[in-house]
Amino acid sequence: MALPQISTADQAKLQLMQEMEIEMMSDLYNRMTNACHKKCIPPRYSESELGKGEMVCIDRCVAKYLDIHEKIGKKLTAMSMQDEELMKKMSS
Amino acid sequence: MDSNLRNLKDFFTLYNKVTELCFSRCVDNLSQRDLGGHEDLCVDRCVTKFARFNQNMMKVYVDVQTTINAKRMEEMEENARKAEQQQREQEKERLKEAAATAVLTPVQPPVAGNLSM
Repeated sequence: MALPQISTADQAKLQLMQEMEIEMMSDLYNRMTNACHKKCIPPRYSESELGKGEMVCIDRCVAKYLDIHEKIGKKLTAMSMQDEELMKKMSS
Repeated sequence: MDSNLRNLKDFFTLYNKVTELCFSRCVDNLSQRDLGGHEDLCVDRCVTKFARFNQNMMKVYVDVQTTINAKRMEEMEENARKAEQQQREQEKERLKEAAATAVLTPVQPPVAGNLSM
């Protein structure tokens, strides 16, 4: 069975989508790094190695950050759907 | 870029910003890996408040920007009127000067040799 052919325009759009996804993941990672650095690394550099406490803190910080990210995604999606329904009601 | 894609990108950027903001404001201790009840509630309120803030901000911005644009248009029209008025006055002055010059300039009598028969 032959695979369905994707048009050049669709391929370009797909590539743009993939690039955007990578860009957004990179943005998320950078923001998370900044946030967890602020929360876990005190600005007194008594040693260059990461302490046990700092490692544990980073682990928890990343877990919480991604948990919050997921929760916010669900919340924003739900809110935007509510807004759409409201718009439909108002227009009809 | 396609407008739908542009909107999607804006949405994701906003999503990342809200995550960063609400994490910074709601997570005060990292003594455990899971979100505490108060943190969960704080995040929920934070997102909702941010969305409401965004809506309100947009409404106020549109109102203020509309007023500013109207004022700007009025000023532009006023400036155009002034420029037109100035141009008319300059034209009048030029015509006056031209008329005065014409009156003051003596007309040379034709030289006999130049008359053609």
